[in-house]
Amino acid sequence: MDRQVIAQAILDTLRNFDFPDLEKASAEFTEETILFGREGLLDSIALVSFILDVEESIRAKTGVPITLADERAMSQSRSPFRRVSSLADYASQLISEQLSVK
Amino acid sequence: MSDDAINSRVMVISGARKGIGRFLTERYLDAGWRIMGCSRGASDLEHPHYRHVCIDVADDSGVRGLFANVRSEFGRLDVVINNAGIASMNHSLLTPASTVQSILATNVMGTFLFCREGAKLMRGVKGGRIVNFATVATPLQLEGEAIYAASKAAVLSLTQILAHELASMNITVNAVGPTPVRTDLTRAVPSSKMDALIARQAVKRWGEFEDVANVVDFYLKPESSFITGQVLYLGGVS
Repeated sequence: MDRQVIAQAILDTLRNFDFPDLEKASAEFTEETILFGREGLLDSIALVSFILDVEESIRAKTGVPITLADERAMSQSRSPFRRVSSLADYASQLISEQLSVK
Repeated sequence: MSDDAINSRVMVISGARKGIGRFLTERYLDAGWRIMGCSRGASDLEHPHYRHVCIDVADDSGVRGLFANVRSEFGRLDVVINNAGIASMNHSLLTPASTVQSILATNVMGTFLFCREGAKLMRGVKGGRIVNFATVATPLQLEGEAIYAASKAAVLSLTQILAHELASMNITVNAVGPTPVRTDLTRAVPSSKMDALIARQAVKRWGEFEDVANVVDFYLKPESSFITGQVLYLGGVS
């Protein structure tokens, strides 16, 4: 699965995300955008909605259902939810694993 | 609410093949709902607005598959009724670990998985209602029902915390706590035990399916959007 497709799905989700703070909604988003943690766009509640939106967007684009917030994601020393790029890497890895199982 | 709006609404009911689940399924089909029901065995219920899936409610991938079917078949979800449940009446010292595991799997894991997957779909319609099943065995601290009552105590905790976690998504989470109702769950229990249990209720009679449906109706009313994290016990038990 093309990682670029996954990164684009994440960026599209971010652009369509229902930010309570309008200033954040009008920001320019790139792969380097910080999602969560220090200086991140999302608080913990918003991150839950965002992850679900990304899962849904990836499922719609690729037909592959993935669970981003699994035990492995939570136990990594560097959170995959930190930046768009790290999330794209992690999601691509999960999709590859799913497809190789099939 | 217009008839069209009601007709388009979608409900998932677990344990829909028989007992209270079957009663609720037929009742809400009659009221115009579209329903995805499930149970471990096949259902003989045929209705143009009813789909049935055979799954174990504690099986993560099976539950995900069911809700994927809801998405593709109906395109939305408004209500989840977590009716599926099992019990086993026995003294704690005579209860095998396998019984504990299966009760916790169906009653706790099953309820959790349906809440989680249901809420994900409900976000799409900007709100929804989840109704879980508690039991009077928990507040009455019934001897012989330790694991069943404990599993439903866990359901209560889930209900109360999910009510907070899902409130921002306009999803309410409540529970109904039936007294004994004549179903497979109570059939194997000696009548003397049932009589003693019913004697502890304020209203001393068996519960009827309609008593349970009345509480579910209440939770589903549009006017109940301010009611969440609650358990309503039948028969005057508190």
